[in-house]
Amino acid sequence: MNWVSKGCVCLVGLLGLIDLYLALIWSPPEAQMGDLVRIMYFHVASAWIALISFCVAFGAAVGYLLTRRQRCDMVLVAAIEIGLVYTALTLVTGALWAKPVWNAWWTWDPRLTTTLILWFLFIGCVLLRASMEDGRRRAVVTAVYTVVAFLDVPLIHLSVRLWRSIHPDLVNDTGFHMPGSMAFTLMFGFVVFFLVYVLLLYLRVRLEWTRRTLARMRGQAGVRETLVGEAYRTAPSTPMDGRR
Amino acid sequence: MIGSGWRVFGLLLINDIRLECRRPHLLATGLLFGALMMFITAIAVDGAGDLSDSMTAGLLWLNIFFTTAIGFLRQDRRDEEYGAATGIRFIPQDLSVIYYARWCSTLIFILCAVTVLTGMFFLLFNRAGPVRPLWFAASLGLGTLGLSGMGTFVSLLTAGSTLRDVLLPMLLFPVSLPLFLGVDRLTASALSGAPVPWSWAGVLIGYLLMVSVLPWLLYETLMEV
Repeated sequence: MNWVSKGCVCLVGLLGLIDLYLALIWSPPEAQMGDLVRIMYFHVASAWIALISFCVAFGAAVGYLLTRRQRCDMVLVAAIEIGLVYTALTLVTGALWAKPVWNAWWTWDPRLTTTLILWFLFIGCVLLRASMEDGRRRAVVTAVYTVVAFLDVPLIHLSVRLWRSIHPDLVNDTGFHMPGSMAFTLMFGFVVFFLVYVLLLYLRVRLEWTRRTLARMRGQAGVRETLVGEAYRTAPSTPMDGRR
Repeated sequence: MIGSGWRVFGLLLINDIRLECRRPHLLATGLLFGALMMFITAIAVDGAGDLSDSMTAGLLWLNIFFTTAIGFLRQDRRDEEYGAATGIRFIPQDLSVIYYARWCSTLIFILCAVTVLTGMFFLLFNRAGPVRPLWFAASLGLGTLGLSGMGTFVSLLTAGSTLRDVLLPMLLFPVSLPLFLGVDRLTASALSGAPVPWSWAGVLIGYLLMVSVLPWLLYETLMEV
């Protein structure tokens, strides 16, 4: 990790501490839920970032299918893996929040169901990618599945919404339905989560780049060794051999 | 060129049907696995004839879903066994024709299996027939159409995967969820005679449109690698 990356990690860490202070101490408890509402700052921010990650993955997938650039594939794999983590975080914090509020760890609410399906889509992508050996096919297949999954998600959400819904609308088209201090904490948390996401994406893409460079160098070294070995085998071992 | 495309489509379809008639692997595995699934489900619910219509429809589609997933694995393996998977890429046509031909042939085989399984379902679960038989048949047909389309596409996606047997149903179910919910509701309404849920019919048609158009754009890209 270079100095710029280390600086970014420190800055994001500092912002994370401020976010923790705002979410756990500074922001007021909610009238009905009390301190339970503090989970919202992590739950909502994770959910938004998971969706952003899915959009980034879709953009990278389309970019890869159109240009076949390695960079797009690296962003795609990074976005899928980090998206999976954020989606898992959303589901876990959601369940922790739902138990005391709805008296159930899980309900078949459209957003919950869509998020769970999103998690399955992410994990499907990761497994599909991990179980393929051919690099080019792996990249194309992941990109195609991501495109199909992305275009399917609105339909999934619509169908699950038709099915049933009890989720509260804290933020919708008409604005934030909460006090200013809570809205500020929520948005600050979102910015911090987004910065963490960008940093993770950058580091993961760099890691993938390094991994591929290393594989390429190994391949080249292997070819060189083979060529040198071949040259030794075919070349005359002594001047006398050559004359013969 | 368009006429030639239809000719290739017809040839591929006839070829698939001929191969299946020669060695009915897909039908046999689908039917046997489906029958076993039905049997296990019937035992699990104690062969109850008093299940609600939505639960009955859900159980029926659950069985159809897994039976279909097994069928896709079987059909692709046949292509690999005969070495046709490589040869088929050289057809002088837009490669998406292969998808539509494969979709059509899979639909025919799965519809045959689904018809038998549905009869078996009513028998094992001691259920009276649907109040609206035509609507029930339409929901089965449309559901199988969507499922076979998406399944054909996902089976190509997982073709080079070492975890294929597990991944195919795992990738297929999340992307088939709108279809699953839609046909489940339509089947339940056909069973009970409740008013037709047109919103679900809309979801189903939207899904079928997606399954028809997306592979046309993406299938050739997949076949190249």
